[in-house]
Amino acid sequence: MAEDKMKPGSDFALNLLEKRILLALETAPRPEIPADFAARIARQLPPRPAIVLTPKRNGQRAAVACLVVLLGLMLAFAHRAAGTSLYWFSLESIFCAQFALLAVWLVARSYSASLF
Amino acid sequence: MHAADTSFEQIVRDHQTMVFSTLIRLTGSREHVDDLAQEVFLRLYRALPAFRGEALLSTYLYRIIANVAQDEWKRRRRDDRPLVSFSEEESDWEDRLPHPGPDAEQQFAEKQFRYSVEQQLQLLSPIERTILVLYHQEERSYEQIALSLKLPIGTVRTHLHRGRKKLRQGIQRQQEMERGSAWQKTR
Repeated sequence: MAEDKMKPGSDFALNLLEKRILLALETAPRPEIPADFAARIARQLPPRPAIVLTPKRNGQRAAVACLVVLLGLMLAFAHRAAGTSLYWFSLESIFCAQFALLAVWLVARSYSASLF
Repeated sequence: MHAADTSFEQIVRDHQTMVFSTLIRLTGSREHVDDLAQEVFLRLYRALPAFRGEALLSTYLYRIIANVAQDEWKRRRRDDRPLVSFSEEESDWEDRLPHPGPDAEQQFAEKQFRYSVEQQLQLLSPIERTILVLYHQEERSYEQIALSLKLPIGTVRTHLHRGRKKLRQGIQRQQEMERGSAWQKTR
């Protein structure tokens, strides 16, 4: 009975063979790694080119463009704001405030950039 | 030495065992494995600026290992050098002798069996061998293997099953031949 089970080609023998193959595949070879391997690799690394970052200054450009637009709007609505309408006066004030804030931000930014 | 070099040295230290053992399995030889591992890490270093972390570093590394192993197979084919199984190149020959004890014979048989698995593994196609090693030895999932080798998951599954079947049939054939020659000797 036991001999029949172990007969080559029987289900039991095939299962056993499958298990042995899987075990052999799962057993990784033991490598012999030189002790200084990692250090040797680090010594051989080619130098990396230095990364030069060139600032694009897109924000500054956008701020200057906004200043120009705001100045144009202020000049365009100046005669209406000088009248008695509260609406045009409020609009002109908002443009003025935005213009002032943007101008301050631009000056502060260029000042801090000149320090470094 | 730069800080980047020091951290790369740490990466090498963390992955060197995996790189060496996978290369030995894939190339079927311990010969030049040092040089091949070095090539793997240098390629990794060069590729690191493009590495955006969308995949695990190990996934990236397996892709490089497979490429380096493939280059080595091509080189051997050009040189027409026979494959040398790493089981034959065990550094200390005593290691191949069975340890004294009641299960010495069983140990010896198991070692012989492993040797024939290695032999049959080298007879598979490179892609089947790579997938078998990544799945069984490195315990990678289908998804990870597919990502590493840039293959569809279905293809990985097909190669794995086909590779296992070929391996089993090869070993069965080998065992039958051994049984046949043993029977002839006893006659």
